[in-house]
Amino acid sequence: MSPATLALMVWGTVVGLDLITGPQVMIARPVVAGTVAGWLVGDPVAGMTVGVVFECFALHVMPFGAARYADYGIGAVVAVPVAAGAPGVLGIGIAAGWGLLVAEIGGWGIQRVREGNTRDVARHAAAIDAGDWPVIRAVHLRGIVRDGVRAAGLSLGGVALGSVVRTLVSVEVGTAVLAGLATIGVALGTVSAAGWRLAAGARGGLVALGLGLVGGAVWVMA
Amino acid sequence: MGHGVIRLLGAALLRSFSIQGSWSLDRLQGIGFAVSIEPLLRLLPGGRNGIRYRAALGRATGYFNAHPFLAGLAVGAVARADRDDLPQPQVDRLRAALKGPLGALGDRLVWAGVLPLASAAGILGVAAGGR
Repeated sequence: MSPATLALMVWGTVVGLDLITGPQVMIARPVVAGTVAGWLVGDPVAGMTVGVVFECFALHVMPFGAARYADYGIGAVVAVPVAAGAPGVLGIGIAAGWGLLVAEIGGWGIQRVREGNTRDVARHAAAIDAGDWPVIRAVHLRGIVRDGVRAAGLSLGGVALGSVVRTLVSVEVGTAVLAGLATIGVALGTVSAAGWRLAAGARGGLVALGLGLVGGAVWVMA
Repeated sequence: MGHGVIRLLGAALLRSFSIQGSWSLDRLQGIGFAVSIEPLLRLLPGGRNGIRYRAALGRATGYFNAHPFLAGLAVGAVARADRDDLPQPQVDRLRAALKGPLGALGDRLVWAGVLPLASAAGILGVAAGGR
């Protein structure tokens, strides 16, 4: 494992922790996380570009209370080495697709961490309510460790498997394959957006999905 | 204010950065709130072995949710109320009354205000620099 890869995994873990657990100093914002990741792999421009793409996704997130959201910070971090040094839009596109997948898995992981914390609190409810400081401290530390494991695992898997995805960028492919890949990317983005609209109870989600798929395909093929 | 108190205030401040570290579905930030306020509760009569310390710490673990950047204000206010030995229903009302406004204010100020503005500035900066 190269020092840059190791640094990237550590950075991804820190970014994942910053999203909720702490210290919440906004290094989990994709534009920050991506830029630093780009600097770590020696391509800050690609890092900034990926960061801006993911920042646009992250802007709609309003983390009120128990809101569910994807972990776009780690998504940006693992996408950067895929995009670094890649030519043109293709590298960014594939990297963004990979990063979005990892971000969604990260969001799923956040829910599992919350459920784990809830079970932990329930198991020790009597001691917690009685003000037993060692128990309260232990529950709190376990919560932090739980999220740290989530962030570290996601960064490790995202960076390691990202190197496989990276090979797609260097393969010489024809225009039809390129267009197909781009269409899949557009479709995934549209499905995600439409899924969010449906989940939020907004009407017209399916119409948005259909229009997005057709429009995206036409735009890419043109 | 002695060095001991300043050290405890510093500890409470540092811990408040992890107020969501043990976020749970039933108490939300409750455990983190207790972890943040714990150093200040050591100032209660009897210290860490006192009855008031344990009672206040236990109550602090209850349901709480506010914007994490502003939750420290509630931590300080509740600690002061406990220190002044206000009646418990009054302390509970104070805590309950603070979480709503601190949440709403923080959400409006940070998530819907400063953050999009800073993000937009960052994106525009990258775009301008890329020309």
